[in-house]
Amino acid sequence: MAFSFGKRRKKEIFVVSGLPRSGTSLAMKMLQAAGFELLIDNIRSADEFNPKGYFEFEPIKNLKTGDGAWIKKATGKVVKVVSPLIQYLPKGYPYNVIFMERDLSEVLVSQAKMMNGLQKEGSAEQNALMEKAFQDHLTNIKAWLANQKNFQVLYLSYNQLFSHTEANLTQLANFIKKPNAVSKMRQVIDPNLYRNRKAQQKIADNRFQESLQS
Amino acid sequence: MTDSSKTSQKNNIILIILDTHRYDRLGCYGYPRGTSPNLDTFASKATLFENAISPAQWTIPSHASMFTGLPPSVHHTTQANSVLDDRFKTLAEILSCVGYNTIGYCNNPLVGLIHNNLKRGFQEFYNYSGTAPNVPQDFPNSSIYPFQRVWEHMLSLFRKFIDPIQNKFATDPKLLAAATHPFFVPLWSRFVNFKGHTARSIKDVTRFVEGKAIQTETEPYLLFLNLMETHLPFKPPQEYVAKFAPKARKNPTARKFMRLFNNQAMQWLIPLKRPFTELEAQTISELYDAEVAYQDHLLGKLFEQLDRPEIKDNTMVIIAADHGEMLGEHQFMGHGFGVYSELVQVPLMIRMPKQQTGRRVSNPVLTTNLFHTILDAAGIAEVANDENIQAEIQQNSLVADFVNEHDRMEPAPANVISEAYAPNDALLMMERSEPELIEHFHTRETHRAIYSKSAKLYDIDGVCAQLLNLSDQEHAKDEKLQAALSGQLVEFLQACEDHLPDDWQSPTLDLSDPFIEQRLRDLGYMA
Repeated sequence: MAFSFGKRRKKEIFVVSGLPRSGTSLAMKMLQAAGFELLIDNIRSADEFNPKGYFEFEPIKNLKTGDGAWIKKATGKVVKVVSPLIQYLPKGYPYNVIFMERDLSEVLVSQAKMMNGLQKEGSAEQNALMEKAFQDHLTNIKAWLANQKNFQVLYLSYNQLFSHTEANLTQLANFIKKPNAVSKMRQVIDPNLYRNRKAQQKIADNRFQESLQS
Repeated sequence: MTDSSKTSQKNNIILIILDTHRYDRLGCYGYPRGTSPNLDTFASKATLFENAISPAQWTIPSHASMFTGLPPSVHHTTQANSVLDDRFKTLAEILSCVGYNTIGYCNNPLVGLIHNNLKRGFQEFYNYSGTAPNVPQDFPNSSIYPFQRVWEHMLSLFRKFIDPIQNKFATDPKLLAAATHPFFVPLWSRFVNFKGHTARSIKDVTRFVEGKAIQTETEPYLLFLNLMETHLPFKPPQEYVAKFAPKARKNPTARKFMRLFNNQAMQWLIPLKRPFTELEAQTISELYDAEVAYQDHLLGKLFEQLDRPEIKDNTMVIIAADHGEMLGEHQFMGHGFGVYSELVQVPLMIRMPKQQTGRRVSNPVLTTNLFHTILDAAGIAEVANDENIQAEIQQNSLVADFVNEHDRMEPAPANVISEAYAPNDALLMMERSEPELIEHFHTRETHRAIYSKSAKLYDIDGVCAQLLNLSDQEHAKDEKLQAALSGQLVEFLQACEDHLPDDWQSPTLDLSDPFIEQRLRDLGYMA
């Protein structure tokens, strides 16, 4: 029994997901701090939009076309798969998904800035289309994930990671079965990197209040 | 559906798919070059459908539709790495359940070699393509029988090793892109039996049919034969080149062009950067004719057998194509993109048991309905307990009640819809080498066309339901017609949606939407 349990655990794959620019890179960094091995290739290096790096593995970007051979390398590790591609993950593996949620308007602003920086800015009409498409997508992907027996999902709010850090990190630590990793993960949360926020909130105050409460 | 006792009187069914075969290169469809004497003779005693439309523009979705009776927007087997969902039952599965012997002879690796579930339900399946074809063995000399058995055993072991590799090459876009390099094309097109072995497969089928005819007590059979002779590369025997493509033989420029083109497999898949010159277009077209004529010649021997009364009287023979071929028209080559008539209008002829006289049907029909037609011929509607199944078969069969009532041959006039899902591997290749062609030719979009009896082509953008008439500018301005056709398209898509199983996993974000996909690519989150 112990043997089969160990074997099943070995096959588990942790997946960080969410819309592009929803805080997936931060989640990857937190899991790295918690002691997980990341499946990344560093082909896309850090830039002004992700100063700490993207934590990506290039073959995953071909998931839609069926390139899933890399999955065997991912067992026991953490991979980043943006939510539009998560349905294309190879079947037959147990996935633990940390799904990053972020205020959609912030996501779109962040995407727009990145597009602008890449000289590929879309029109207002196109951005409105994207907003609707992403809204529908988030509704649908949550329904889809709920129906997948081999997917365990934790929804983690990017915004609340800054406003209610301890509570969210504790939740994450329990999900990844590393309850002692909260302090390590906290160290990588850099409020300076929370840009494009919807409303300027006094995050420092909140964190101070939260620490008093705890 | 499992009452095999009722099959004792059933007719045999032979489905011959002429892969990549244009309808307009056959004499029976009005082509004057004498490319198809055998098919013309066959058609003269069969029912020829003048406006037969394929549900898709290339092999995999088209075969999946013929085998399941479903449009590509339902079965979703539209890519080289797609796998037909187990919930969609195939012809071979259903017929084997009612006592049919189901056997396939296939030259196209996309059907016979790769693991996409299209072979599901066939009790025997012979594949003539690939490095180690799996073909019927004959042992005429009993003294070498043991050695042949050993050889066959070694081959089967080799297949276990090589088949996954071949499958990988066919389904992995990067490997496929590498394989299309001009250096490798002559190797795999010749030594890996890319086009299978037309002559051998026809000979094997002829022998099978002959053998079955002399057996008195035998189960009925469904025989599927796929022939690839008219697929690129075009390398017909010299006598056919001399007769049908003399310039390709004598003119050095034409010869050089064809040699290069035959080796540039990527050019078979993507739009042309410039239109063909007159000489190039003529060379390609005439060599295609030579391939048509050669294949027709090979089919002659099989047709001789099929004309024997003991076979003809209890065998339904269907000849169709999975799709046509662009030969430079509209600056397209091959069959990757679009829903032009050169690509989706296909030959279709059905000869029913004991049929003596030919007839022609002008109403548009879909080859998807071959599924219902074959089930109808096999009497499935009679043995099915479900009234809905009975109704579906009878409503969609192209030859309803074929034994006694030939008058019911003409299907009711209706518009039919063909769909072209862009092959992802071809798109990826274009992105790397010719990205400008994607936008110019709108190759990323899924195109749909509605064919009406007057055979006008309407290319409709499914997202915006915008009508772009490619063949008739007057109709393009007809707003009422546009609205009506757009309405039909919406109904079609809704019907597809309704037909999906309840737990079907529809994409939660429409990555086929070019703008969404482009956004993800621009942001670097998709390759």
